[in-house]
Amino acid sequence: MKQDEFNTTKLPRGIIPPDPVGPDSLKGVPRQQTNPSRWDGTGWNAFVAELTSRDIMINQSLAGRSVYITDGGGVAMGLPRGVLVARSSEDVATILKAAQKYTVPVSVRGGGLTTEGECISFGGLQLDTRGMSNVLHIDEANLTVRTEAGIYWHSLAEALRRRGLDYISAPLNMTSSVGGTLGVGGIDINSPKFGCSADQAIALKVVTPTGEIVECSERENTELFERVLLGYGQFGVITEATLKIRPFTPITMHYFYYSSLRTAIDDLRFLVEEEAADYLGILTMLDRAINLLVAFDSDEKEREFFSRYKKRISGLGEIGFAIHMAAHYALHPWKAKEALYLLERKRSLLPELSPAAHMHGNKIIDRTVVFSRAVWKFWGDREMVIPDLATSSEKFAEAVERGNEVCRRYFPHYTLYCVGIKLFGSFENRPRYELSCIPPDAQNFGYGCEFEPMLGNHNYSRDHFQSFKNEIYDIGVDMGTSYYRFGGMMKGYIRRAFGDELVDKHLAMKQKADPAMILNPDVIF
Amino acid sequence: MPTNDISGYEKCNGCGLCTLPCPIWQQRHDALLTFAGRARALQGGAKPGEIRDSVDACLLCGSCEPAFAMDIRTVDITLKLRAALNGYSKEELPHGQVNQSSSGRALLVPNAALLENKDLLKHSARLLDIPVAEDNGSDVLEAFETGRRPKAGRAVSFIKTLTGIRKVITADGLLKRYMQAVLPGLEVIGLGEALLRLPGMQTALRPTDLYIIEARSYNMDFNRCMPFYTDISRQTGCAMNLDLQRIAIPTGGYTNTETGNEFTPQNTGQIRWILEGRSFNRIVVESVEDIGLLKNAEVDIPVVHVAELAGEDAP
Ligand SMILES: Cc1cc2nc3c(=O)[nH]c(=O)nc-3n(C[C@H](O)[C@H](O)[C@H](O)COP(=O)(O)OP(=O)(O)OC[C@H]3O[C@@H](n4cnc5c(N)ncnc54)[C@H](O)[C@@H]3O)c2cc1C
Ligand code: SF4
Repeated sequence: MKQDEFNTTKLPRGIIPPDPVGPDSLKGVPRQQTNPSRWDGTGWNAFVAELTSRDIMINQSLAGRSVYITDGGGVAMGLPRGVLVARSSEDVATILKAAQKYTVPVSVRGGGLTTEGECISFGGLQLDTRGMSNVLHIDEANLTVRTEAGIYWHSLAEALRRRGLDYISAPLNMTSSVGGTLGVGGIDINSPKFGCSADQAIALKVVTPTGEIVECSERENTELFERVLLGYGQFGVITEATLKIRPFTPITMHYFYYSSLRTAIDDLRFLVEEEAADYLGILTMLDRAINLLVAFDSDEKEREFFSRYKKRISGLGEIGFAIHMAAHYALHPWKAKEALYLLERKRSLLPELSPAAHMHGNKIIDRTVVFSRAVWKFWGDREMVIPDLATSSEKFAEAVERGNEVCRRYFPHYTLYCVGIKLFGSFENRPRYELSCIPPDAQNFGYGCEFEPMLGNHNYSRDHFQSFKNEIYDIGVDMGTSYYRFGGMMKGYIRRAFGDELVDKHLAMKQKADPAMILNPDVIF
Repeated sequence: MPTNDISGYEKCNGCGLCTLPCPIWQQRHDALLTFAGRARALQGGAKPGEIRDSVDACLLCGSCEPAFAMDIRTVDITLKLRAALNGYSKEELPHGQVNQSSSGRALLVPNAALLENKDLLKHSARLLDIPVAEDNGSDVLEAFETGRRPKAGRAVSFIKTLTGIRKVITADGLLKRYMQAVLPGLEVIGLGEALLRLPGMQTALRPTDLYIIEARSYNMDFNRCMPFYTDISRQTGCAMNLDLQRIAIPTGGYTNTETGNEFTPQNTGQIRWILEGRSFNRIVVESVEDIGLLKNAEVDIPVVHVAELAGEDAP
């Protein structure tokens, strides 16, 4: 059959035929799995023609498609056949109906900040949701906002701040979208207090894979609501969301320093579980220079921390830690290079976390701007690999230590970012947590650690990255943890990590919801 | 011989931070029309001619430059693309040198809108106590902005008018970028900033004012301007058209529509976004064009130019 001689009856449903010239076509050249196969394009022209007749114009130019060639990770590469910036739920519905009819894969993208290629289209249609970026209604009395879901969290914050309001929790990168984040989780350093972003959603407008536009919430179409949240885009496209919001507060930040990862983690867990602070996280600079971030929305909470909890943790203040490190390097002069790296890191990073324009006295005014800019400046390389482990409280320290050991073997410098996540129930009463980043055995709080190599000017092969990620993910399989990023290039771990029973249950739900399996193929299924 | 050097875009790592303050993004939400989109398209092998719409759409407002965590001169790259598309090259620009020992004379260089508003121009010059340039070089700047070759000899003759000048006060921040290219060492300051530095001007601002900064001047000189304006805003309590990253949100009023962008004076979407959700009872503008934009947007609140804050012979 020629590429566009399309006949629906000849195609088995749920099979997206791969392009015969795909990444696995180099027989005899051993490679780690990276990109999924590229779709062969059968039926594309008929699909485009149908959409054109409905006034939906697909951009098929090289320039338009190249914009979407990779994601935040910059490692997976794929070129869509065409791109559409969706402007309404109706646009999305029309597209998904036609995609079902012609078995055209549709990959949805908001901010595009996945790192495993989850939002990339490998030869199908790239649906950019950011054309739906309007804030629809701010309810100041009930502290909720209704917004289109393609909007960046940062743009939402811009609209809310003018009214003295703020969103509750969102990723630290400014350019992730509301819809993309609700689909994967969304962790902030206040997640120990508020949970993940997906838990801030009150109601959603969703376009199902077969093109129905459905409003859902905890009361209405609950099953869809629970499937779409943390559903990695498998069960629908989120086009609008009603989210909880809160009054804006500047924050006061304190840093405590450790030279033992285990001690820092124990203190993090202690503070998270005591709900001792509003923001908590660990950021390592070196294996022996670990930073526990503790921050507060109110002076009362800060006072309570210093009177009740400070004495129960072992982190040092900046001066105490400097003396400690000076003594260490005096006794280990052959580690002078490490000491210089640490000093340079401290000199460049710490001022970025309290820039004058974003400070008011000792309070940080725009924490998202401050942290996100630091994240991009210090970790935002052209390529980013951020494997992670998501565990229960009990398994956390061991998982982090084992992951750290892997980092040490693959890269000279890396950062670990550890957070706690409040949970609002179990798999039974929150089905959204099933087959997600929420660890299956976590109770009340989950924990996550990202292992982020600092790539600098080194050039590493994709195989190097993939081997590194595999070793981290093998720890997860061994320990029975979950992961934040288990789709896309890491999808080979899904059955091993979650077990056949759970995966088959979700596969059956997916096949029912998406008969042609066209929505976000190769992310999970 | 033009070299059509368009390098610089290859540094883009796709973080998308530059889209956040971009007025084209704010109005269209189409990634291809932003700097990040152009960079990605070129990285993907597209030719400049294939992204002409995007290159033309840019307002050269400079908002994307400070948004980067990395140092990328986005405006320069877009200017190079425009020049390349029009067969002109930045290397053809004349180059002069400011005589550091010159008398230090200052000059007010108005743009077309300020030139038209004669009373305001006179008033500003009187407040600043400096002469108005006889040649405002608007044709040269327009050529620079659109990437076209200026009329033969004009670029050189305009530079000549600045002989002996150490400091220029400009109504259009793009002149800062032009002068960096052709007359390095010349101090170029935005009209709004220069007026605000005069004694008594800042105290005339009220906590109930919305102050609209001329975004090009501010964003293209971000490291110097940001602390200056942030201090004023904190001290006077007046709101400013700054976003959460402290980048000036452009109104788009001063941009050259010859390039094919959509920011005609009738397009009030951007000004509405600046006003949305804020409460204020007076608007103070630095850019004369913004007075017209606010009128077209039917804003029912008094609008004054920053020069009028001085109250002397206000037009
Ligand atoms: C530098 C950097 C820092 C990061 N920091 C954090 C952090 O602090 N916390 C954190 O939680 N994450 C973080 N991440 C990960 C990233 O933020 C999340 O993956 C992100 O929230 C996803 O949002 P997005 O809009 O970019 O989604 P996309 O990458 O566009 O999409 C994510 C997935 O959801 C699907 N999708 C997109 N939009 C929709 C929609 N409207 N409906 C249904 N499905 C959709 C896509 O197909 C894809 O599978 C970081 C990533 C980077 C690169
Ligand atoms: S200069 Fe202004 S209009 Fe042009 S890309 Fe940058 S932010 Fe957008």
